[in-house]
Amino acid sequence: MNKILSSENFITDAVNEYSDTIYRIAYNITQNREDAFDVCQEVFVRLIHNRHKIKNDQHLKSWLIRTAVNCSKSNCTQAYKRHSVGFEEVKESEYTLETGAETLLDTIAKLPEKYRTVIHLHYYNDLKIEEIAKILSITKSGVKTRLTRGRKLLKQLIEKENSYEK
Amino acid sequence: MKNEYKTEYDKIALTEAQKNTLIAKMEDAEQFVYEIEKENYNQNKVLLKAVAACFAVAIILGGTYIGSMFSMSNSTYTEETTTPKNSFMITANAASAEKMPEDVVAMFSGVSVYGFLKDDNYFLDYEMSGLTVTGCNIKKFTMTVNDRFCYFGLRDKNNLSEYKTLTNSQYTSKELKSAGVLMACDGFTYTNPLPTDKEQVIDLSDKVDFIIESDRSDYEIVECLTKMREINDEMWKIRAERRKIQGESGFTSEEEHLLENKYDYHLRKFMEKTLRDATITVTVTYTDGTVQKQDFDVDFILQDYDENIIFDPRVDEFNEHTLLNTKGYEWIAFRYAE
Repeated sequence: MNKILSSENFITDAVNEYSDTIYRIAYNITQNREDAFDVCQEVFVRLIHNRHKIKNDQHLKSWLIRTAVNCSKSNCTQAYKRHSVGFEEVKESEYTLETGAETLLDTIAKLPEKYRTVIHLHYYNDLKIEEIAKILSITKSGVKTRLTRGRKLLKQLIEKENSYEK
Repeated sequence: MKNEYKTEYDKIALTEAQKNTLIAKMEDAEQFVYEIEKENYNQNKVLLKAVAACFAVAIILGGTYIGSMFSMSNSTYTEETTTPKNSFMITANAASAEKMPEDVVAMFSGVSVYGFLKDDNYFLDYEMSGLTVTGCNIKKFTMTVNDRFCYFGLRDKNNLSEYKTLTNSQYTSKELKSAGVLMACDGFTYTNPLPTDKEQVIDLSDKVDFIIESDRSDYEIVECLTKMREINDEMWKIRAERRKIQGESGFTSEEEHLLENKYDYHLRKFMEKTLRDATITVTVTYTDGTVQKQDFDVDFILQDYDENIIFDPRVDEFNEHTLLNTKGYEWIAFRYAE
C-alpha cells in the first residue's frame, strides 16, 4: 500500500518519515551537520519537482536515498568547501582531543567517503548489496569490494587507536 | 559493532525545530511549484503542437546521427587480417547516468573530483570510477592524452596524495613532477599478465585518475582562477558571519547561493576551455601482434539535477546564462572522436 505517495499531505508525510534517514546519510558523507541539513532541503525540493516520477512507497525510499547520496557528494565537491575546515569540524575535533573519547563514528569518519557510504547503507539502512549497487550505480562486486576494504581499513584504524590508548 | 554503530547513528537526527522548519519550507515550496505549474499550464497547451513538430524533426535527425555513430571511422588497424576475436572497449559508469548521450563510452562524475593548488597551479583530479578495459586477446594497451594540460594519475588508492605506478604498467611519456615528486603522466602502458581469447575485464577502477591542470598562459583561464579565489574568500567571510549570528543550524542565504552559482560558473568555464581540444588515444596490441588504435574525445558535459543535459560541447555553444544559473552535475565523458 502506498501510504505516503497517496497521502493528501504527501510532502509533510515524506519529511516526517524520511528526513532523519536522509540527514544521517548526508551527515555520513559530508561530516557536517549544517551541510547535512542543507542536503535535506535540497533533496525534498527535488522530490517536489519529481513527484510524478515516483512509482510507489518503496521506490520513494530508494529514490530519496539515491538523491541524498548524489546531493551530499555534490555538496562536498563545491570547491570552497574542499579547501577549508568548517567551524563545526574544528569544534568536534577539539572536543575529541579534550575528552580523548574516540567513538566508533569518529573512527568511521576517518574512512574514505566511498567506504563510509557503503558501510552506512548496508549496516545502518539494512540495504542489500543489490539495492546498494542500484542506488550507487555500481556493480554488486564493486559494493562487496568496498564493504570488504572498508571493514578492513576500519579494523586497522581501531587496532591503531587501541594501541595508542595502551 | 553493528549495534554500536546503529545506536550511535540513531543519536544523529534532526531536532524537532529543524524538522518543523523543514516541513514549513517544503510546504511553501510545494505551493510555489503548484502555482507556477498552474500558470504554465495554459501557455504549454499553446506550445504543445509546436513542440511535437520539433520532436518529430529531432527524432529523424537523431536516427541519422546514431546510425553514423557506430561506424567507428576513427578506429584503425595496422594489419587488415585481424582475428575476429580481437576486441577491446573501454567503459565506465557512475551514478546519474541514464540520460547521457548514447555515444558516451565512459564518464566520470564531478562528485568524485577534488581540486588542489600546487606551485600556484590549480588541478582538478577526477577519480575514474568504474574504468574498465574489456576485450579478448589483449596483450597490452597504451593510453595517451594529447592535451598538454591533461594527465593520468596512476595512484595508490589508499593514499590520495601519493602517485605510484600501476601494477604491470609503465609511464611512456611526459611525467608531471612537482618539487621532484611524481604526480602524473600523459601516457602509460598496461601489460596484461594473463591474456586470453575469452572476454576479459581489466579493472582499472580507482587506479587511474584524470587530472586537469590550469594553463597559466591562457588569460581566460587565469581570470577564472582569480575569480574562483575571490569568490571563495568572500563566501567564507559570509559563512563565518552567518554562523556567528544564526549558529550552526542557520540557513544558507540567497547571497551564498548566488556566490556558489558564480563559483560553479567559473569552474565550468575553466573545464570546458581546457578540455575543448583534448583527446585520448588507446592503442591496443593483441597477442597475434596486430595493433588497434582508437581516439576518444574528452568532453565536459553538464547535467541539471533532473539529469537533463544542459551543456554538451557537441551540441551547445557555451551559454553563460545557462551555466551561471543552473545547478547540477559536472561530468567528464569519453566518446568516439569526431
